[in-house]
Formats: sequence, C-alpha cells, structure tokens
Amino acid sequence: MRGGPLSHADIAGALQPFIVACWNGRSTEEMPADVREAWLAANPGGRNISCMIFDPKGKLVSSFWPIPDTFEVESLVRFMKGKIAAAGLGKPGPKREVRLPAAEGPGVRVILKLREARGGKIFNYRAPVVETMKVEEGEKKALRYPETAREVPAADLRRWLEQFYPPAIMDSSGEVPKLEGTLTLTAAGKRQAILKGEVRFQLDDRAATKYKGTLEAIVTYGENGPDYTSFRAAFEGMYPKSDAKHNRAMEFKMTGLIESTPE
Amino acid sequence: MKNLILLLALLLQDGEIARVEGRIKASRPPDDELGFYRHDWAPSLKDAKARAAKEDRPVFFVAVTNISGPDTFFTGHC
Repeated sequence: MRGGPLSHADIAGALQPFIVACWNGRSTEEMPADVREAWLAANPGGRNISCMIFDPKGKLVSSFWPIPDTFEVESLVRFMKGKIAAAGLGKPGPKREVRLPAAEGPGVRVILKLREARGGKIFNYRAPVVETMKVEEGEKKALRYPETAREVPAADLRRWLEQFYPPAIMDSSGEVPKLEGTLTLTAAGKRQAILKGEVRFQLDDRAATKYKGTLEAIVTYGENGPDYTSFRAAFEGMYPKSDAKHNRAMEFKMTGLIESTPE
Repeated sequence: MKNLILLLALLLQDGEIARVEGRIKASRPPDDELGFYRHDWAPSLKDAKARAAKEDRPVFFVAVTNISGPDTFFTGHC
C-alpha cells in the first residue's frame, strides 16, 4: 500500500480533504477495540486488508478491499480514486506539502529507500520509509568533537543504523540481532568532522539475511563545546533477497539518509 | 613550506566535505517519491475520528492484517 497507491500523487489529491490513519498487525486479537469494531463492520468477508471511509461524525460510509484485479499501480490508483470519489465526502484538492515526521526535541530522522538493482518492477519497496527517534546521551557522546581522529563502533549508533533494514520482510520482526562495523571520526573543516565506515547487518528473518553498506556523515559542532549541532549521513548498501516463486536471487540497492532534527 | 602543507590539508578537507555533502544531497528522496507523507496523518483511528468531528472532515482508514498469510509473519501483509 505504501509503495503503491498511498504514495501516488493522484491519491494525495483525492485524500486531501481526509484525515488519514492506519493500523497494521497480525490478527483482530491485536486490534484496539475501536479498530476491531470498525473492522468487523467493514470486512465481513474476512480479507486481509480493508480500506474504510468514515463521515465527519464517525459513521462508516464505505469499505473496500483495495486490490480489485492486478497489482499494477495505475490500476490500483484508478480503483482507489473511484472508491474515494464514490463516497461523496470531499472533492480532491491540491496536494499537501510533504511533512516528514520528526521526534519531539533533539532527534534524528532515518530515511531509507530500495530499488531492485537490475531495473525490476517490484514497487512495494520503492516508497521511502521514514523513522524518527530522540537522541540519547550515548549517541551524543560517541560523536563528540574528535580533537584527534578516533574509531567509533557502529554499535554506538545502533538505534539509528538498525533502521536500515528493508520494509516488507514479513518473516522478520524488524530486529537486527547483529550490527557490526567500525567507523572513523576525523576532524575536517572548521568545527566539522567526517564519520565514515562499513556497517554489517544480520536480520532475524528465516534466512538470517546478512547485508552491509557504507556510511559517510558530516558532523557539525558549535563554536564551543564537544557536542554536535548537526548530523547528516548518507548510507549505501545492497540487500540480497531470494524470490522463491520465480526461483531467482535479487539484489536491492539501499539508499539511506540520517539527518538530525530539528533541522 | 609548513604553511603550504597546511593549506593543502585544508583544501583536501574542504574537498572531502564537499564530496560527502554531494552524497548526502543525492540520498534525499525528491518530494515526488514522498507522496505518502503528503497525507494528513493521525496516529490512530480514535485520534482521526476525534479530529474529524472537530474539523468536520471525513476519515480514510486502512487496516492491514495477516489473516490470510503464513503464521511465520510478524505483521500484516498486503
């Protein structure tokens, strides 16, 4: 959904009048009571996904399974637009500005996108994923201004780096049990430093998939004091995935970004 | 000579900063890939409905489960 219709410009326009929310989990047992109640009313056939449209008073007006025939994105978008229009609850409007989430207070935002390395057509990986978190003292300490170049274990920035895992790996909890590597932090320019190195990952999916990437960051410091004021990093890696259905191995290029917030 | 070496070192550092800056800029997805973040998101159905009543606006809600998937999945799937 994220990689297809919900990221499409036409759906951004169609949903402009709406407040949008979502829920993801394994079963109805995990649902909050209000979600379960809506689900049972909207989805008597028991399919895995339900899109629901409520009027401003909270009454369920329409519900539908969003995959009518094919997974082709334009087809999904046309179908969804039609369903939204049919509810008659608001005309499409100009697209809203992009608003990326941010933690409250000093934090970081981690953005990751994937592309099939050989120009394939899998779209569900394409929409960037954005995660945010507050910064912790250990992370600030790890990035203190390097009077002399020093090594920084990748594990010191684990909470940030472990977000570089591909979405839609449903037999993984999202945990990264192994994260290794050594980065170097070297002063460069006026009150700036460069952090760079290789990071190696292993997921907890059935294949215990291993992958790796390189990170390079510009860390900026204030005039006085050792703590950073800005952190911006680029990450590039390659994620291997097997396609059992078509008996082939695939590779996805991972492109990541970490930026401190507020900007 | 010492000043020349220092100048060269500073120029190399500036070049390195510029190179990494270029990588960082290239890593940021353009807005046309971030359509998902153009929506007016609420953190839950309950919050969405509360806002909807206050703002006189409709709600679009997506629920994704693993009802038809293998029992090894941790999340919903679509």
